[in-house]
Amino acid sequence: MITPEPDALEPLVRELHRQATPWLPAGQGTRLPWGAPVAADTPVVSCRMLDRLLEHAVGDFTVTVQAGMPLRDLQAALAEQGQWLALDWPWGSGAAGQDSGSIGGLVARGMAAGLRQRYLGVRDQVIGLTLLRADGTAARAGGKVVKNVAGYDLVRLFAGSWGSLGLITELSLRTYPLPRQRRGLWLQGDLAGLERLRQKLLAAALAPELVDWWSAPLALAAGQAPQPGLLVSLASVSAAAIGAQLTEITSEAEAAGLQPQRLDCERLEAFRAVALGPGLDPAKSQGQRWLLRLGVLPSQGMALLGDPTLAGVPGWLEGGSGLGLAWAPAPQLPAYRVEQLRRRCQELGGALTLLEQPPGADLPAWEDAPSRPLIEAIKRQFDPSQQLARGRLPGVRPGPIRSGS
Amino acid sequence: MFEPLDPAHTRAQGPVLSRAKGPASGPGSCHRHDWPELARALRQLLPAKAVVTARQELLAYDSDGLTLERHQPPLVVLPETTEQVAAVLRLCHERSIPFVARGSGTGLSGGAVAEVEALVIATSRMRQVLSVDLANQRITVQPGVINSWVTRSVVGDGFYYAPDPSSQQVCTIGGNVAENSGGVHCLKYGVTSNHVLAMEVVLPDGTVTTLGGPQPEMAALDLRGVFIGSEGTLGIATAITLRLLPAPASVAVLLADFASMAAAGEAVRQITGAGVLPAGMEMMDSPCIQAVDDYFGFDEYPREAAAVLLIELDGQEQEVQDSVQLATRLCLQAGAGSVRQAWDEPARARLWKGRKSAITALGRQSPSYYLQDGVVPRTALPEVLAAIGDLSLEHGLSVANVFHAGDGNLHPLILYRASDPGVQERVHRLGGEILRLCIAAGGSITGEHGVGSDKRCYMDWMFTADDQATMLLVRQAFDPERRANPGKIFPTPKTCAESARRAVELKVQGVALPEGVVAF
Repeated sequence: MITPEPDALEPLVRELHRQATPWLPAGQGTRLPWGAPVAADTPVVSCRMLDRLLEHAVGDFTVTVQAGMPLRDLQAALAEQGQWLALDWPWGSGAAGQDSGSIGGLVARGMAAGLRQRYLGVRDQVIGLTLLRADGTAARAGGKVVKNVAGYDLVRLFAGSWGSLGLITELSLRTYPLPRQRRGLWLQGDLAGLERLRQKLLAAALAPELVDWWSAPLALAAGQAPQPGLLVSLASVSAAAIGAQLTEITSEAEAAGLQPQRLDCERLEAFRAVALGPGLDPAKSQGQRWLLRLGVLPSQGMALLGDPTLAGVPGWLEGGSGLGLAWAPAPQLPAYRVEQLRRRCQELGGALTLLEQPPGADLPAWEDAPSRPLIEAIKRQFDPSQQLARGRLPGVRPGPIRSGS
Repeated sequence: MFEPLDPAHTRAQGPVLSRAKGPASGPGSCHRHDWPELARALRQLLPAKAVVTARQELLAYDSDGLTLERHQPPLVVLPETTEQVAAVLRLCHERSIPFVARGSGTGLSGGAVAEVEALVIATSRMRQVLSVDLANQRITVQPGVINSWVTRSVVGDGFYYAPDPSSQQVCTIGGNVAENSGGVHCLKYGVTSNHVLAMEVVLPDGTVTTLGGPQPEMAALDLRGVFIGSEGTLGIATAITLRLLPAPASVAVLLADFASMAAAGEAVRQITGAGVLPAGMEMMDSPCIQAVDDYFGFDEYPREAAAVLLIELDGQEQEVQDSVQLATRLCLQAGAGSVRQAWDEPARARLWKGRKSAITALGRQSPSYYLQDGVVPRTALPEVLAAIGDLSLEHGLSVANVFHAGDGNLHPLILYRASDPGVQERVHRLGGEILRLCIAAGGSITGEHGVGSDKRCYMDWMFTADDQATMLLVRQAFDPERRANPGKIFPTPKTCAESARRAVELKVQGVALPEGVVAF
């Protein structure tokens, strides 16, 4: 991994372009193998030396940072001012976010989690960015204000682009005040009862921050009965409002034959830490692991959780969007079952993306999007020499990797 | 070696990737298209009534909400289906004809106007709600569906569509997508881009594709995100899937008046700092207040107030009650003269009435106005408003301000008399200087009205040549011949003298201008 000093980054990229050398844009480099594979010998150019907080406009609820800044440091700096980025730690971060990687990496992957229910996704929180194109040209899009429609929205194009169009070097994001009050609720019981509660929660007067389905094995990992559950987080300026909402949901849950458990902040955090998975340490997984991005229509979450293809697999699914994650050691989940699961997700109105897969499985990380020709046309414009993250273009089904590329 | 851009595959996908053919087909030259002949060809594709050629009828398409400039298009079509739009665009592609998509024409940046000879494709007959899926909180509509109809079609089931531009009774969802429209409630709920899941889009060569999908994040480049707000320069959306939200259980409105703009700004700061996120927060300055009082014939607002602040709070009943109490206390602490509260619908409408009548009231005082749209960081509002006041005196033109205080989106109204000699140029100059203030404060030249033709000459105040060249890479992929809404958003030497001057300066400095930017 090359970690140039800030001043050296642009000349390096220009030199790589002159030589038409393929390279992989990166932040802290914590999740490089995720997604479609790039050739093993591809040099990684990290912006981890770009790690400064440039401006926290406290009164404007915006922050501008260099993209290599560790997410954990950024959240800590914002918390000192009573604010936060309303974004989940990425999977594998550990309870305190110690392995959360950089803010730039989070944006480049563009994957939100349960908090999307209240605060929307990663791409909705970024208000501006600076990027380095494959030829070394620096460009800026968006701005530092929360409302802005000047020019094309390249922010959204880069959020979730997985390094395929350029290296993100700077970001401006929206911040929120830290919630004054927060309480959780854990619900278990039969799937149909949980589904009715999910619908109630999504329409509840006090919009929850998070309504996540949990699979039975994940519930077990949190020390609960091995059956599916719903994890709910409520936040408000008003403790009384949370109390009233909790009372209402609890009585409805009991009437539906479910077992509701109220969670204080600490227990809620402990649950959420379990959902971050066993960690990134490759020594532990030995690369022999599946990490699967699930997607179905929200109304089909229950069907997916009850599906035999997901049996024994820990995972969660956002109640409002139908997106989620599941993971399993390779020996527990043969490749054919992952293919079945992919078909099942497609039948349920969604898709399956492979973030990690064991060596030799050779399943495509993602499938073709309907707009594939247009995605390829964009790629040709931004990276005509095909240097960046070669083989990893979201929306284009990857072909088999051949060595020596 | 892995080759992601398999040439065989791209060929198989048809003309979307084809290069511009023949001589440059840029719009602008006189009579380069045979419009009567094109009308005949279009009648082969569309019902006769869908092809508008009568001069009298074409006049209806000569401007949008920005009436300073008018251009009557040579030809208008009114397709009803995606297939018809695709057929029209294929024909345009074959004949290198530029086109302009148009909704209800309520835009305020000249975006839906054919400034050069171009076919106008109006979506006013694409008004079907295609599907409603309440279980998944979404609705799919044709682009000509009116914004407020979306809410109307699901309100009985307890849902609504959040983006609510002030023209929501007339403006279309297709236009909202093109402009990435906001509205009073976007402070809490976000703008159009935050509410679109998927779109069926007809590309400038007539290819039909899908951007986005059933989940808010897809494993694909977010072309949906870049299409929204592209002001009709990348294609035409023909079906749009929108997220629906559950209607709030409780709503309250507060109205506070202040003796100074700084005090009102402090109230906004205190409220947001306390963790209260209002659904909307609107402010009006003294010229607005007085115009409204004159219009109503009684003092709806304290006549001597320098600012009134309207705050709408929504959500769970107890939460709204607590937020109302907190916001009221913070307004009084910041120096509010009085704070009125409204809970039931008629009382809330009463407090909103002044705000909603403000532009009409100002119109009574002044025969013409130019509505500007700029953004500053919220904390810079008081000082920027003071500077706008100075500019108003300097230019001898009255300026009234109504704006979204929560997100720093300013809407100064420059009031003028069209009969005054040379006034239009003065209005433009003042409008431009207000935008310079916004940029100097770290803001933007447009928060929700778009760049269109009105502001393209300010783009290079905000973005460098490299920034714009990077944006134009997207244009090159979608529309290499630049036939979709030609001339909009990006400056051209013909339209922007300032940009042309800058091109000369840069050339003198030896700066190589990147390919793709017409001129700077």
